[in-house]
Amino acid sequence: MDSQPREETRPARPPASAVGLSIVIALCGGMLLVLFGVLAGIWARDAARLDAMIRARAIADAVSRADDSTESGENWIRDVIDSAKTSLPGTTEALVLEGRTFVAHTDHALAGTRLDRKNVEHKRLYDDADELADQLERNIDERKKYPDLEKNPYATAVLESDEHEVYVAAPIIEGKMDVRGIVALKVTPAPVKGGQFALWMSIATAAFIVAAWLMVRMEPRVSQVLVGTMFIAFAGVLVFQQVHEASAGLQGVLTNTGERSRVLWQGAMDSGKALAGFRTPASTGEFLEAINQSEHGDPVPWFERRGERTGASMGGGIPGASELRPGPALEVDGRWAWRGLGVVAALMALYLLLLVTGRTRKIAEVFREHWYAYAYVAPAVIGAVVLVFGPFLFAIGLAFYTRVYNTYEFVGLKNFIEILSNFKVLESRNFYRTLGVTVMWTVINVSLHVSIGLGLAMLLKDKTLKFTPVYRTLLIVPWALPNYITALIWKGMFNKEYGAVNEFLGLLGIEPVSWFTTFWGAFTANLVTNVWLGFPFMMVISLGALQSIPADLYEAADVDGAGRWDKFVRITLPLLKPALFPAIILGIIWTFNNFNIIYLVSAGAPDNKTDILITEAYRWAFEKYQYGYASAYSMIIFLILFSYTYVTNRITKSTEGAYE
Amino acid sequence: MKMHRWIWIATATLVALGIVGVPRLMAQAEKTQVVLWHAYRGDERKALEQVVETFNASHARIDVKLLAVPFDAFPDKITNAIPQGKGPDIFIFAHDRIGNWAESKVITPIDFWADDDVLERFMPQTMKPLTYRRKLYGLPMAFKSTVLFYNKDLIQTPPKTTDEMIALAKKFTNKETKSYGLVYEFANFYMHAAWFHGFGARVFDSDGNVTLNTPAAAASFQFAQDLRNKYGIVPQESTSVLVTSLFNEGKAAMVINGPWFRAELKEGLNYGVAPLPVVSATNQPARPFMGSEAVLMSAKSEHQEEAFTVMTYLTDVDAAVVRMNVGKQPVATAAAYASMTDPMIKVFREQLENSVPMPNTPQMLLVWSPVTNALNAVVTGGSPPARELAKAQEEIEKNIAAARR
Repeated sequence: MDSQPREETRPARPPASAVGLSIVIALCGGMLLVLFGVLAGIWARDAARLDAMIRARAIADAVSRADDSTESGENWIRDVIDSAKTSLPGTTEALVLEGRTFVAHTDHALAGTRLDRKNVEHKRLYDDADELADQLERNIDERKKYPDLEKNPYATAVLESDEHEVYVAAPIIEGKMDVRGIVALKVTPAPVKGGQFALWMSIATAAFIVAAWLMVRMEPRVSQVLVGTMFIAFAGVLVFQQVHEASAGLQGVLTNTGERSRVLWQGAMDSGKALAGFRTPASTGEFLEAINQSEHGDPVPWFERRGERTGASMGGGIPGASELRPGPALEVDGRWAWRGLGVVAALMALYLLLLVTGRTRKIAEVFREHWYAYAYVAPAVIGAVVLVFGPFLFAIGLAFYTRVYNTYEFVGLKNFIEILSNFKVLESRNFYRTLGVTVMWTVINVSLHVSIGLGLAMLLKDKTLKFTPVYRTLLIVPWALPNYITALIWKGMFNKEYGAVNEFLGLLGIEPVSWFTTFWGAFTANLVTNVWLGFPFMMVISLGALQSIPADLYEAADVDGAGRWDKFVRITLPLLKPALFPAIILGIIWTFNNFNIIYLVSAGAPDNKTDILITEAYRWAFEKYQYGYASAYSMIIFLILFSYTYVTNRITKSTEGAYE
Repeated sequence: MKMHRWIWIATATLVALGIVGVPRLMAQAEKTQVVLWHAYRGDERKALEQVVETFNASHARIDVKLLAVPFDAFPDKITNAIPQGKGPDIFIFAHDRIGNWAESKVITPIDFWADDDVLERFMPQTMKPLTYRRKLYGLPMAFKSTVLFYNKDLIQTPPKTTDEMIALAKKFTNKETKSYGLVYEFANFYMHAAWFHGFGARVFDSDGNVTLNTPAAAASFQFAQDLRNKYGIVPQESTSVLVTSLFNEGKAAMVINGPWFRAELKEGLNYGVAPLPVVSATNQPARPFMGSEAVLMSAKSEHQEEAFTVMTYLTDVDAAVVRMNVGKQPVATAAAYASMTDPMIKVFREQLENSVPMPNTPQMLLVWSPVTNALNAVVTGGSPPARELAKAQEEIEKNIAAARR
């Protein structure tokens, strides 16, 4: 079935396209299994949390309406809690706790325990109450400023749980926003039905793999494309079925527990001991909405924590459980289905494309022959991915976001547009102005580094010079010292009245210069410092390269009667090029991103005019805390340097042959 | 045989060491370790070590382990190490980062343990800055603000008003010898804050709005510019290194700096300290920024209760007396002043009455850079204050809005 003669000696080899398609189907099926297995867990937990939170909120709301002017208030609250355990199945423990934070209410008739300083569990509950008060206050603050935030009433919920036990706490709110206590509930949620998706997905994956093997006998390409497409379509149906089921489960909780809680709440209200003035909600939906609002009309935050525990009483030893997360949404996020399917379908499409164009066989061959090479580089690749590409990708992602008080909001290209569309080039901190300064800084620096470095190398190479090693060592010293120390020393030397630079100029009869008050002064100070730091590198490189130039070339030139200049231009420079060129490319990148010198010597003075791109990006991140904007800034720097290296690489390729 | 004897002796020694050592090791293991990070050096460090030593000797169940971290790296280390669970249980730092650390859950409130009888120890001015969003985050150790240092060989009575200060400074300013009457980091807003508040300006109003673009702020900037350009009594440029070396060389008659400056002065220098003068233009005392140096608790500490015991100990009267008399710290524990031996501490305490706590909100972090740029432009660049302050105000407002939204 294959025309290649080599194949005949190995007759039992399976067709590459069937192997490939099987791998891709298995991969796609596996990815969907894992993704939706995880999502199913999250959705089930969301439903369980919501269930528990509705209960807690209903009790907290009922308790907050307790008439504390009567003596029986305490018993009344106890009654509410007791009835919660019976009328809301799954509620295993319940507690109302009054915190010391709420000093104003210490003589409140609220039931429950006083906080005990020696009790670790109380400390945890106290922290919860504290966090809740904080959330609530913040919520009200922020909503005053940004009314469009937080449309979802559950958006401030803070929780954590596992599938066996949900631990929730809800604040008891009095009046506008005084949190006077905390209701804590432990709920064992109804078991989640599931496993169907995993089963069907596994069956489908296996069936399609079998189909791929059967159909390859007929018409390889057409049939493989057919099988691949059908698999994706079938997987899509399964995925959407799964999303639908999860949504139905969530709705079930909303109506079921919602209705039971309403009955409990209504019973408490009807007992006649609650304060008058509340409005009886007409429906379960209205009830759910009502208990999520403080009297101020603000959504009330929820609280939940992981249920593993060691102690016997409510709240038990919860190791490291004070991490608090935003609460569950009221709806299952259907976008995940599209995202998951999109990635998988793209993978499949890519494979089918390779198959149709006939590339799969070649890839398989390469891998089969060189698999050990991939195995060898794997550790390095993993290291690079974790340490370099991970953070790098994170920064790329961040560039498309902006911070909205404690979360991030996707803004697309807004950050980039803001940076690039500001054309007020005369203002300091403008991108184009800073870019101009950076380019000028780089060009002047590197030209000086190279000419000084090369000049000194030529001098040092001179055989008639005595004590060459001494000079060489001395000249390398600026490079060997940590550059921030050198930078700070130079900064001191540029002081107007006491600095060595002005003292020296004074000897020449020049008035003291105020270096850091003008752009050119500060730029020069930076430049002098960096030239001092930069030339030894170029000198070392040139020195090495110079020594490798064969002496007989010069002798031949002497015989031909060439002068010094001719020898330099026609022999030295061309032969230095292969060594010097990469050094210059590197030098340009280092100088372009030379953070230390700018930051330490001029610090951008005056008015950020001497800042280069990298220090400017730093200021956005660590002086203004706009991480998204700063990321966009560094992405632009990256793109500039990337295109620069790309271009120079192409140029150097042409110089590589100099020695050949 | 000689060899054998040595082996016997070695074995016996090892066994003896084991018998003595093992129970000690076990006793050590029963102790809860509380790690404390600080950035103290010199006398302050010595005093802290002494206090901790006494604590460890007198407490059977808790063992405090000290770690000195360089001051410059301190806030960043805290911000990065604690969330990863590698930080200390408690640490000592000025209050101005509390808002930021509280927002990012690096530190945890201590209201749960703080009894009224613990809280009543402290001078109220040092307590208030430790509160963020109605919660208390630390116990104050010491307070730090700038005061006026003067060279006693040159000046007998320190100036009471800024007019006196200028007149006095002119007397000691000599362009030939490069000596100046007053040396301070005028381009550093922290150092300028004394004049800023003395002229009646504030960084934020009570609602948290930025109030830099005000006539009072402009007057204070103008004053700083005049000190340099009109009266010529301060150096043309000044950095903290320059301030130290000029004062040590006797080329600076007066210096504005904080208590930490004492450690940088050379042995035998005849100097005195005095409260900062009254601003003649407003008849208000100059009010420097006050930093309340507190011991704060990590949100990740697993021994919070023990940590709080240590915090209480570090700030009680006995420990405070050691920190004040050995460490030369202006301590926050009021009762310690009954046993004060160092007269200079009295001056710092006087200055506390006329100081403004540094704002501890995260917004304050966005103020430093623009306001320093403005100050630089006005004092060294000669720009009109109103224009630079308007620019700074606009930039800060923009950045606060952008950081939130």
